[in-house]
Amino acid sequence: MKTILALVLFLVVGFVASRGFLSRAKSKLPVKVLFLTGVEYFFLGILLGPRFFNLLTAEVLEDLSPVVYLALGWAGLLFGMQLNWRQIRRVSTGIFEFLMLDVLIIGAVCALLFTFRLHVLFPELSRAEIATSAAVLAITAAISSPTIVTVLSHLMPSRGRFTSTVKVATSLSAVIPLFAFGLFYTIAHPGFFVSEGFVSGFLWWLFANGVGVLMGVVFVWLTMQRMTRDERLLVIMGTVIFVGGICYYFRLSALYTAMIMGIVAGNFSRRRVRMFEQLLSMEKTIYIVFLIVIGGMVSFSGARFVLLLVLYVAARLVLKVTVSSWAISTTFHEFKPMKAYSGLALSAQGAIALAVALDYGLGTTGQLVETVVAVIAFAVVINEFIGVLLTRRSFRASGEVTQRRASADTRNPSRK
Amino acid sequence: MTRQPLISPGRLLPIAVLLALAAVVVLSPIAGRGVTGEEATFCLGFILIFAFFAARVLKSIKLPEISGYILAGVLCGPFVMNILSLEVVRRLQIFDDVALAVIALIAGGEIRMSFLKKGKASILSVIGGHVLLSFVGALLVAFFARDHIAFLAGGGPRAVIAAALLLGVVTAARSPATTIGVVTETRSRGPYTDLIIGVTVILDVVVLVLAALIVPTVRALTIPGEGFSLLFAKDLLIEVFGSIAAGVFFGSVLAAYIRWVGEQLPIFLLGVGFVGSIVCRHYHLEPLLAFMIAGFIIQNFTVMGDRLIKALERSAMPVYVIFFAISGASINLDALRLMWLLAIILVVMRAAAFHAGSLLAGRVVRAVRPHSKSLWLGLLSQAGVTIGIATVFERRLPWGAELKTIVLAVVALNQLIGPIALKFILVRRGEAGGMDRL
Repeated sequence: MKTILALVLFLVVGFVASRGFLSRAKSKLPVKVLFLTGVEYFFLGILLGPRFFNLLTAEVLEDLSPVVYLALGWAGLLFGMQLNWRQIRRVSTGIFEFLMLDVLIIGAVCALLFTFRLHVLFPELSRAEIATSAAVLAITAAISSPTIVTVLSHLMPSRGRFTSTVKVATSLSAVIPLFAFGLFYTIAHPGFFVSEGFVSGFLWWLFANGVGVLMGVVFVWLTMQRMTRDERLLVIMGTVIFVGGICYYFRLSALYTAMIMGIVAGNFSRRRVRMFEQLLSMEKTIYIVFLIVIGGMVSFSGARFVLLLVLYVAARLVLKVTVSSWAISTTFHEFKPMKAYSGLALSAQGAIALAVALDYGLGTTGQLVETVVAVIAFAVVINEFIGVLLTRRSFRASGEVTQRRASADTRNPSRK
Repeated sequence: MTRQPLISPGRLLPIAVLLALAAVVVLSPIAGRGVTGEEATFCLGFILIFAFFAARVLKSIKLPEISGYILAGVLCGPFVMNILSLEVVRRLQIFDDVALAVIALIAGGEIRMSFLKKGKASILSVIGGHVLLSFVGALLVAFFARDHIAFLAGGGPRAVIAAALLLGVVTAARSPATTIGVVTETRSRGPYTDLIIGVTVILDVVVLVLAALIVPTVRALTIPGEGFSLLFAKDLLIEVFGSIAAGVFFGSVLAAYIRWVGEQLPIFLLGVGFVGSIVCRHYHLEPLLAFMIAGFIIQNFTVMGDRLIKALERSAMPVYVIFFAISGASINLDALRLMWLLAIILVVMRAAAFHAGSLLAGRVVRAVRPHSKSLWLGLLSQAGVTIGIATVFERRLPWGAELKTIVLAVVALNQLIGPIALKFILVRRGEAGGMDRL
C-alpha cells in the first residue's frame, strides 16, 4: 500500500501543488523563478521519504530503478549533445580560459577544504571515504546552472555582453566537473582492477570512455534508420536505459557514460537536431523525477550534517564572489568595474549537480554517502534560491537590464 | 533472375549488434551478478530496442509488430536465451502492470455506448454462440482424449464433465489487450473491428462470471461428499464486481484530473495506471477489467474521451513493446513441449468452435451475417485473463495444476497465432487504415 500512496502523492500533490504555488507566485519574481526550478518536488520527495511518510522506501526506489537510470542517462545525453564541436568552436576562447580558472580553483580549494573539514567532523571514517566524499562535494560545488541565468535574462530582461557571456559560461560550466566526476567515479570503482589507485582508475576511465563512444556509435547508427517520432523516442529511451544497465554491470557512471554517448551523437548524428528537440521536450519530466527521487533518498540529521551544509553553501558562495569574480574580470577586462558582482551570476547550481549526487549515491556505499547526497541536494535548493537574488543583483550591476521590464520587476515588491 | 531474400539482412543487423552487445556484457567475467533493480534496468533497455527492431523485421514481411514484440520476448525469455529471466520478469512487473492499464484504458475508450445500443444483439449472439460451442467442443475433447489426460484417466463421466466445464471456460476467454494492440497498430475502423472489440471486451466479464460459477460446480462433481456451495464462487464474484467498482472510481479520478488539472496528462495516466494496478493486486481485483471500465466511463459519460485517447496514444508505443515483450517472455515453452499434441487439438477445437459459433450467431441475428464467416479469425488471441483463470483453478481445484499446464500450452500457441490472424483479417476486410494489402 505504500507504493500506492507514494505514487498518489508523486502525481496528484506534485502537479496540483505546483499549479497552485505558481499561480500565487505570479507577481514575485524570485519566488516565481524558484518554483520554475521545481524545488517543490524536492520537498515532495522529502515528505514521501523515510523521515516523514516513509513511502519512498529503498524497495520502491529499486523497483523504479529503470526510471531513475532513464533520468540520469537522459540528463547526461542531453548535456553531451550540446557539446557540438561546430558550436563550441564559435565560443570565444576567453570563456574557456575563465571556466578553466574558475572550475579548477574552486574545485581544488573545495577538495582541500572538505577533506580537512570532513576529517575533523568524521574522525572515525577512513581516508579513502573522506577523500571520495570531498571529491564529490568539490565537483558539484564547481558546477553552475544556466537555468536561473536564462530565465532571469528573459524576465528582467537583461541583454548585453555580460549576460551572454554568463549564459554561455554557465551552460558549459559542467563540462570539466563532469569529466572529473567520470574519472573520480572510475578511481572509486575500479572495475576489474584488483588494486585501487589512480592508474587502475585511469585505465578504467578509458574503458568508460570506450563504452560511451561505442554506445554513441550504436545509438547514432540505430537512430539513422527511417522511423517515426514515436519510434525514435522509443529507441532513445531504450538505449538510455540499456546504457544505464551496462553501467551498472561494469560499475561505471551512468551520467558520464551517457554524456560521452551524447557527445558522439551530437557531433556525428545527422538527426541530432530532431533528437535534441525530443530530449528537450522531456527535460521537465526528467528533472521532476530527479528532484523527487533525491528528496526521497536524502537522509539528514544531526549537527554534523548542518555544519557540513553551512560550510558547503558558505564556501561555495565565498568562492563564487571571490574566485569567479576575479577569474571573469581577469579574462574579460571590460567586466572589471563590476568587481565582486560578476561572480554572483554563477551562484545557482541545478540539475547536473543533482544528477552527480544521485549517480554517486546510487553507485557507492559508505557511511558518508547519504550525508553527502543530502548536503548537495539541500545546497542546490538553497543555491537556486540565493542564485535568483544574486544573479538579479549581478545583472543590475552590469547595467544591461533594459528599463521597461526592470521597472516592472521593481514595482512588484511594493505592491505587497 | 535472382530472388530477393524474404528478410533483408540489413534489417537483421541491428538485432545481431544488440545481441552481441548484450552477450558481451552479460557473459563478461567482470560484470556484476544477482538480479537487482539495476539488472532489470539493463534487461528492460535491451528488450525495448531489441523488440522494436524484431518487430520491424516482422513488419517487413507483413506480420503484426505485436507478434515481433512477443517473439522478441520468447527469444529473450527464460526458456530460450534467459536474458529476461523469471526473476527479471518479476522485477519488471511494475512496468507490465502500467502497460496493461494503458491498453485496457484504450480498450474501454474504444467502446461507444451508441455502438453497444445498436450492436447489442450482434455482440450477445456471438458471445452466446462462442460460449455454447466452446463448452460443446471442450466436452468432445475431454471425452475422446480422456485416456491421454493424466488427471482424467479412470475418472468416470463426472470427471469428464468437470474437465469440459473448465476447458470450456478457458477456451472461451480472449485477450482484449492483444486485440486492442493489433487494432491500434493497424489503425482499423469499421463494423467488423467494432464487433471484434465489443465481443472481446464484454466476453472478458462473462468469462470471469462463468469461471466463478464453475469452480463450485467442479468441486461438487470431483470431490466426494462436497456439495455445490457458492462460497467458492465468492472470490471470483468479488473480483468481478470489485473490479467494476474500482473502474468507476479510476474513471472518475481520471475524468476529474483531465477536467480540472489537465497538465502532463500522459505522465498522470501512467501514474494512475501504476497506482491502480497495485490497488487491484492488493485487493485481488482484475486490473484489465477495472481499467476497461474506467476508459469506457471517460469515453461515454464525459466529454474528455478524445483527450484521453490522444494522451494514451502518445505513450502507447513503449507501452505495447514492454507489455507484449514481457507477455512473450512469460509464454511457457516447457508446458508447450510437454503438452504440444493436446494443445494443438485444443487450439483447433477452439478455432472450430468459434467458427461454428459465429455461423450460429449469424443465423440468429441478421447483422452478424456479413461477418460470420471470418469472425473466428479475429478472436483467437489469448493471454493474461486466461492464465489468471487457470491460476484460480490451480488454487481451488484438485487437479488445477495439471490443467494449468495444458492452458499455458494452449495460450502459447494462441498468442503466437492470434495477432497474425487478426491483422490478416482486418487487412483482408479493408478495415485496416494505411496498411499494405496482404
